[in-house]
Amino acid sequence: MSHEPIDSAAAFARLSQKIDDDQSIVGWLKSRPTWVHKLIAGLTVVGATLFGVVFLRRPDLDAYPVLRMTVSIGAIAAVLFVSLGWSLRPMHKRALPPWAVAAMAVGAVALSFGLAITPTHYAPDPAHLPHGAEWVHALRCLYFGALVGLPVYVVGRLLDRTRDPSRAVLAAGAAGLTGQLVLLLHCPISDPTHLVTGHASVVAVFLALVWFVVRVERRIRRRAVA
Amino acid sequence: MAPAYPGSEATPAGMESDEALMARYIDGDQGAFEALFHRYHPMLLRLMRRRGASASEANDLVQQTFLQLHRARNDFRRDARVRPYLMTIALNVHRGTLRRRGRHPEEALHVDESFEVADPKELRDTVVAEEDAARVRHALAELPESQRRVIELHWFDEMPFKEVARVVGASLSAVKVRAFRGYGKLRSSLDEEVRS
Repeated sequence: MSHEPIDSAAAFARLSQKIDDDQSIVGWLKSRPTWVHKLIAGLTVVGATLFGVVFLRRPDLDAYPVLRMTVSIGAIAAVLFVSLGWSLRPMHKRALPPWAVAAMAVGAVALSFGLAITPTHYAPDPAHLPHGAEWVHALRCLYFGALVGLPVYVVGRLLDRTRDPSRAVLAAGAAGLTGQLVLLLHCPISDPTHLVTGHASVVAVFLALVWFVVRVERRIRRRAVA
Repeated sequence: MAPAYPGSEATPAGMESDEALMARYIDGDQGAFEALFHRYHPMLLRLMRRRGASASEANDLVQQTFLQLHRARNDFRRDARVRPYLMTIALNVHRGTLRRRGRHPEEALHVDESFEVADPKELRDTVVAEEDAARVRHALAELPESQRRVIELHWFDEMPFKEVARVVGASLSAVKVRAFRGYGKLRSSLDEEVRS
């Protein structure tokens, strides 16, 4: 039999205090229904993409092969929204198994690099291409893609009610794919080396950074417990 | 006063059902939340203790479970049942905590000598003393995670298979198969111990 007395009233008082402390904007956001969370996160992705299309559209967009563009956008969007949806999965549903999260992360990276190395059979007009060192362009694209993806990651984390690291990984994958999606609509360079180093790498960088942070947090927690 | 078996199908006369309390809570009645808390607090504490949490960890996990319930109250469908909803949140909170610490969920269960064995069904006649209860816990710890989870929820938490299926995210028939196999292994494992 249980040997410990249960002070339910004191426990409820502590809980009430925690709920009172949770009355910030972030706490209010976390308390919205899951469909609202998914709507906000989805609108953030759409907003970032529209920003790219309207203000930073690639100059050769009209000439770019339509089928290739459609397949690329469709594939990226499908993995992106599944990853984002999983990162906001409500707590009253059974948690995703670790292998599913790992598969999604690997899938996001594989898709990014797969699209980058698949030949487009399309040579853009040299007048549309930027001049200068290739690695500079790649770094610029990586930086721009990460910057565009960052709001998606931040919104995903703000809306997450848990502190489960697997959800951070899923949000990172979605953020990286958003960056890559906007880069696809922005950057006219179709050289595979550039696409690998400047575009596909956005997903890899997001995932690597989050993985690193999760590892460090775990190590700190373990030391604190020890 | 908390009932012996919160959320059971037969709510005693005069006692408001969990679902009615939850509906009032969603409509803004804090008293209903408090009533739900007192009803489920002891049961969730036992659940966390059985899954290897220390007393203070269990308290913290139960607090987190109710905090999550508070945050997820607008996700609750009014035609759903509260107990599987809350139990799934509790198990996810437990699993999430282990993941943050880098521990695998299956490592969690250790033999906790203070936990309560609640009114077992087929085996209840054989488990009469703490010594027997310890044997059951050891035998339970040797079961595969999927079977152990089903048996814990069905036996210790007295959940009907239908609710267990919702909590573990498997079909009713799959849950019954796991329970059948798990109870079978438990029985033979206990028989062996008794013989030796």
